[in-house]
Amino acid sequence: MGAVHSPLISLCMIVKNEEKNIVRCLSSVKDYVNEILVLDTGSTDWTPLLAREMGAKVYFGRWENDFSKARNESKKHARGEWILYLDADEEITPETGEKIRRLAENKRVEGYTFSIINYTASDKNSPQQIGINLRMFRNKPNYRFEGAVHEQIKSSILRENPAAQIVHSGLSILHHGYCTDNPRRQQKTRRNIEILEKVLAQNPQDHFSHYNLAVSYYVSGRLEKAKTHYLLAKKYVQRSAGYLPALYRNFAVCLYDLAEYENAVKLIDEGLSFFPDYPDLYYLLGQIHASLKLYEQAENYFKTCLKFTRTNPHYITTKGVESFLSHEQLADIFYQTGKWDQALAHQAQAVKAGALSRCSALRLANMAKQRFDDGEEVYRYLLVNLPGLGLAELIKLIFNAGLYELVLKKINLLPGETKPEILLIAAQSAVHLKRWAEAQEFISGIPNTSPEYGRAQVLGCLCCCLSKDLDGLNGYMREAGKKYPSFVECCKPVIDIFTGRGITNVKNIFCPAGIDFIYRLIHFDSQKTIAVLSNCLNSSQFAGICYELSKKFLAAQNYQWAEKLLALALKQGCRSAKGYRLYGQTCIEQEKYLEGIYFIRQGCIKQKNDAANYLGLLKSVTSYFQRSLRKMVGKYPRYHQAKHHLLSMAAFNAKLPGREELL
Amino acid sequence: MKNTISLCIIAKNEAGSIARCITSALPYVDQVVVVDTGSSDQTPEIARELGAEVWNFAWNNDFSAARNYSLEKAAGEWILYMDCDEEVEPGSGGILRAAVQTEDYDAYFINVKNILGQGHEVTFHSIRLFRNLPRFSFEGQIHEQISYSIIAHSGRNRIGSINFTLIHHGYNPEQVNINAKIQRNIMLLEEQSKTGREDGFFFYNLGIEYVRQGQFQLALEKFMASLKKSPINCGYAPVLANKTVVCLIELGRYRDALEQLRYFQSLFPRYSDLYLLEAACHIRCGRYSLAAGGIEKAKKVSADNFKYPVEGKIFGRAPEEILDWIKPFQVWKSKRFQITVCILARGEEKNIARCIQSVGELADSVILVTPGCSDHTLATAYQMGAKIYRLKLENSLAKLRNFALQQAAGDWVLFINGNEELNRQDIPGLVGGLNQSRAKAHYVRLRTFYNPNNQLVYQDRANCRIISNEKDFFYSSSLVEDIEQSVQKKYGAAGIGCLPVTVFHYSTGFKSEFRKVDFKRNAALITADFAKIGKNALFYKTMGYEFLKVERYKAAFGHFNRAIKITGFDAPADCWYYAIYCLLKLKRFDEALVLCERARDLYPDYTDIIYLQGCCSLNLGYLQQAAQCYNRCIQMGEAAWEKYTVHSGVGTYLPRCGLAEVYLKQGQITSCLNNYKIAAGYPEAVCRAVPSLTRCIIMNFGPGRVLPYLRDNGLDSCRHLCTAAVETAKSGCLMESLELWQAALDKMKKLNDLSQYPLISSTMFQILGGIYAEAVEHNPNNAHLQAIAPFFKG
Repeated sequence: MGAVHSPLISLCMIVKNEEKNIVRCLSSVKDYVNEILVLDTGSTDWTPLLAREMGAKVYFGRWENDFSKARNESKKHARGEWILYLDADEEITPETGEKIRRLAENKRVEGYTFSIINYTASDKNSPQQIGINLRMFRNKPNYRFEGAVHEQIKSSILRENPAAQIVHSGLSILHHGYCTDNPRRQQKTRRNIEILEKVLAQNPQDHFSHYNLAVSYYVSGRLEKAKTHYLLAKKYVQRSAGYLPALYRNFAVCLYDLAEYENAVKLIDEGLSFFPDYPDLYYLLGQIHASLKLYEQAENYFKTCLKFTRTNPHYITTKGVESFLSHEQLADIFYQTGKWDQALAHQAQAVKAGALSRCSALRLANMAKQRFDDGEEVYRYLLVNLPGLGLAELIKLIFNAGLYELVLKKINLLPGETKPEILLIAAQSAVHLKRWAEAQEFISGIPNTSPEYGRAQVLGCLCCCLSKDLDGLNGYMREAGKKYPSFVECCKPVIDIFTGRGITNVKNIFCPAGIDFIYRLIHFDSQKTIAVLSNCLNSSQFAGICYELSKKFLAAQNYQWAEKLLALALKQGCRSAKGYRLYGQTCIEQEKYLEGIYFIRQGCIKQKNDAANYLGLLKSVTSYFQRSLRKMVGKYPRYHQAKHHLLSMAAFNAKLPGREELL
Repeated sequence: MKNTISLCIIAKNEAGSIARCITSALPYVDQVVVVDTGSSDQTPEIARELGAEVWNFAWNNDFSAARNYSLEKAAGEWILYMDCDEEVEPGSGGILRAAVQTEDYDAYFINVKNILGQGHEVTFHSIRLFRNLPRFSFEGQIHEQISYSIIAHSGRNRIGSINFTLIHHGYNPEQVNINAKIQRNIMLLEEQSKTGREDGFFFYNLGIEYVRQGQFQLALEKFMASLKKSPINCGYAPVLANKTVVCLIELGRYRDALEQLRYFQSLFPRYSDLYLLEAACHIRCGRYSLAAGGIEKAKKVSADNFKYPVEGKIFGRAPEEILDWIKPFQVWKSKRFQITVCILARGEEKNIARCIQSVGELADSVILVTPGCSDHTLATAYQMGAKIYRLKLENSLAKLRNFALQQAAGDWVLFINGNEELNRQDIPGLVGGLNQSRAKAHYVRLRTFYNPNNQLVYQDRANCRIISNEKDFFYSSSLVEDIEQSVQKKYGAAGIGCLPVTVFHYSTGFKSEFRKVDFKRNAALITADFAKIGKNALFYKTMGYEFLKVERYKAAFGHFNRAIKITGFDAPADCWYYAIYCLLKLKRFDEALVLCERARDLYPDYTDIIYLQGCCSLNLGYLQQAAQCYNRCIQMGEAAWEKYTVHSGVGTYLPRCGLAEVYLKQGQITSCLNNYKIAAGYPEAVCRAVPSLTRCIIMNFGPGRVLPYLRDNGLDSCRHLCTAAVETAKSGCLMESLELWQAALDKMKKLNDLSQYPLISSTMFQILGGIYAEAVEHNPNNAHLQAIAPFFKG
């Protein structure tokens, strides 16, 4: 910065209200460029000041809804031989920074493209999309940006200088701006839509704008409009367009979300005929077939993805498609079909190759639990395959996987003071194993200052209910009541039932907190809970409780338990049409199609004028036909009619209201 | 062994096939050069492991540049070049080493066998082996050629042929998504056309891609362009000729195809495929003896096959297979007479080909007489060899037919309508019959299908269609075929005989718009005809029939009744039958019964009347009488078509269904079921009997008994089960209908008979449609239900 000889690289930026990002950006890059020019298009926050403090020259300009205009303006005063441009929500790593200087020393290249790594959420483990963009080019006044949104300079360079060499630098820029949990993202998307609609009004055949508009509509959830513009982009696009692969991919994703499976598959096939080395397309085919439960074919597609050792940087790709994402998908497929060995192998590979999310680790644990009978073996396996995980995290993991004995064993291995959240986990495990005394010991170890105290006391109540420990119960109730004021009122009736005091207040049993209490009791000891309830309550009360409980299980997607409870409710006389329908739906979710259809049909017969029953019936019969068609496709893979009907049935099924709506 | 061979390959992402390619050639070559144009998979590593030298080349959409680069890296004295999706045919490689020792040749044609899937393959000849001289290089961006430069520098004489074969898998539709690839090729070629390098070879390639897509018109245009620009001795000329004719055949232009074939056969007299194509044209036109001739000619020249790219198939089947199939129909030689086939047609573009094909073998000439066509009928007929006469706006069929008689040159004349078809199986019988006949005219069996898609339900009657070509025979009615009159006048009743020949008549659907238009026109014609003679019985019968066709039963009955009254007991059986039929439709059962009694006395062997009597009795509740009638029908079976108009099923399943209904009314369920069961055993009766059977079982034994009953009684074909499933669903028993449907699906899978799948899938949609209909019935205003309505319309 401030070198004596002519500056080599100028960083040019346009900003508006980026005080949260500008410092991160500039500090990552300022040591590697010779001058920084920032064009502020109307910030009302501290952005200009922060930029100046980091050593930038700040200019002010008016925002005219045109990115190219702004960018061209921003490079007007640049004195370097090269222009590098970044957005405020981007940053570079030091390794990248060091190499940029060497790029500038090259005599023959005219421009460099960079890989743009887009984070889709603030969590580092969220999916990343990798795109490509021309970001560094020689500073010549005739090189001008074009396009109101998603401005491009490549065409201008090649026009002025047809022999220009534009080379991929092999370096990356990190972009945080697409995080969907960023509220400003929606604003930016809306702004882009506005600008693009105006551009297209002037020039309806501008295919690149159609494409960008489609992407913006897709991101804001307006799928039908996105589809319209994708079609127009495809109609006018030329085969040499650089974004053509991305067009195929994003359009196909849009069609998939619209449940137009046949069109999506056709489109992807067409894309593959031009770009047979684009792994994202195979991945998408795999996803489509997996969601249709055509597992064999899905398996083939994901295995194809794994064959790609490195992806062509000119394709916009999702990171992990050729490694851990496909491994996870394969693990899931094998899990669904009960092949534990293979499921485990692929999930382990996924974790190794970079899938570090909590979800992945939990899946690994669940699969290990299926594969190995002995808890110790599971534990050893997890230790080996999840090397980065600390002991505390590991314990949480095996708790979530339901290995309670193991939890209690390994608790002792923790060094030093055990954290309250681990103690709570231990207590819960003990309750699961009916080791009441141990459970209470763990609970007593949780200080009343920690956030887990309240929950621990409630756990104590649960424990005493199940163990009929009346003395301890009073203590826990008092403490729980201190943290949760309405606890006593809501849960005392339930507790009374369990401690043998009988029904004191029937009405309150049905309050949500009360139901929640019973729900937890079922998780710990389902047999006892149900036995006690059925003894104490009369049949209509019992049926009512079972019905409410089943809805909670449905919400948690635990269909087995929802079915059991609904069956109890129906037996005890809660024979409403909705009850039958719900029961039928739980059967369908567990793939017991004929049973499910039977009960939903009963619901229809009972209450003909509730369309929800018929919609449920249509959905269940369609699912049944889909299963038969899947078997047909499996047996006669070349018989296209069957696959065609399967896809249109799936599309029809997707249009029927889902379970949530029917509930 | 002096001269060394280098194998040169260009590759991009071929990890799946490159190993097979290289290993198949490795024993016969000394060096393997692989030019990688940007693989992102394991292709380079795999090649290296097999001992290849791998060079990188930046891909710029130019196949020739990449191949020439591979030549630069080759060290051997000879070059063999292959694609990754090819392999050396086992047993074929040994010839290479010897071949490259030669001083006489600089290059060789070898065989490239393309696997097209489903057992089809076609072999081309291509220069793949040539001396490694710097002056030989590839040209052309997409279909790169080395032959140009070899011919330019060394001349044709230094190019030999060896029997070395490569197998090319790349076009196997079972291996790759063929349609997307073809579309891509077309796009690439069309783009190349923008560069202006459009020579004969370019058009040829584009045409080939269009053929693969099935777009024959476009392909033909490109081939025509190619024929204009290609020299006769170019390497691809035979294939060009072949494919041009294929396009013409696929477009139905058989006459043009035969003409072109005569020309091409003079250019390539020993190219066997050209004779097979000739046979194909004749088969499409029904001229089987000529087709057999073409196949013989092909066999004679098959020894020279190695010169040409031979497919050796007719419509994808082996010539021997075709010969076997057409053998029974080859009657040309045994015919001892000349016969002209006269076709009357107007607007029959969908049917005319079927008609002409059915008489192709029989006819010495085909005449088509028409009052005018606004569609493709005439063009199609012309291409199939017919001579066309247009009598503008002539409504009178008599005038059309008489004109045809005048033009006919044969000893015999066969009249057939454009929407009819001669039963091929009957041709030998026809020829035999006419060879020895002494009659002057013949009746044939005219079989009318009410629904062109259902050939199991029909009506048969005698119609005089084959007449001796004598001056005194003529038609007089504008509508009806009344040639018998003039024959009988001259020769008496003995002049007309019967031949065991069937002509299929496909009626336009009952409810179609055309019926009303036809009615008006026919009524006018008939009235005009009889304006001079006065209204006699024939007039009333003919008019009655027209009213019947548009379902105006009261008017129809009036006319038939008149006809009966006028002629008294001589009234033809038809009049009685239709009079009774109309009364039945009008539900005037008592009057109908009276007529039945009288008709039975007159025509005791006319089963159809007895059947109608049964129906009337059933409707009036005279159950015993009805049962008697039905049993009599079953005893007598179908009446003779030579005497009467006969309706299908009247001697078999129709009375059975009637009996079943009788038993049902009498409460004898078992007998009822038995009769439905027997009826359901006839394939044509499935749609009638099975639903009734199903309903009966559901009402009396419960829906769960349907499937076991069908199984126990052998009525468990897919068709039976699907029909029962739909009926069960209609009765509101969803679970049982799904069970029946599943049984049908299992049966289909067990028999591996995919032809039943459309039935099964349509049953699926019908069941869903039933649920939807019920849903909408009870919830007419529900938004969700309305939103999914489009799914059920299609």
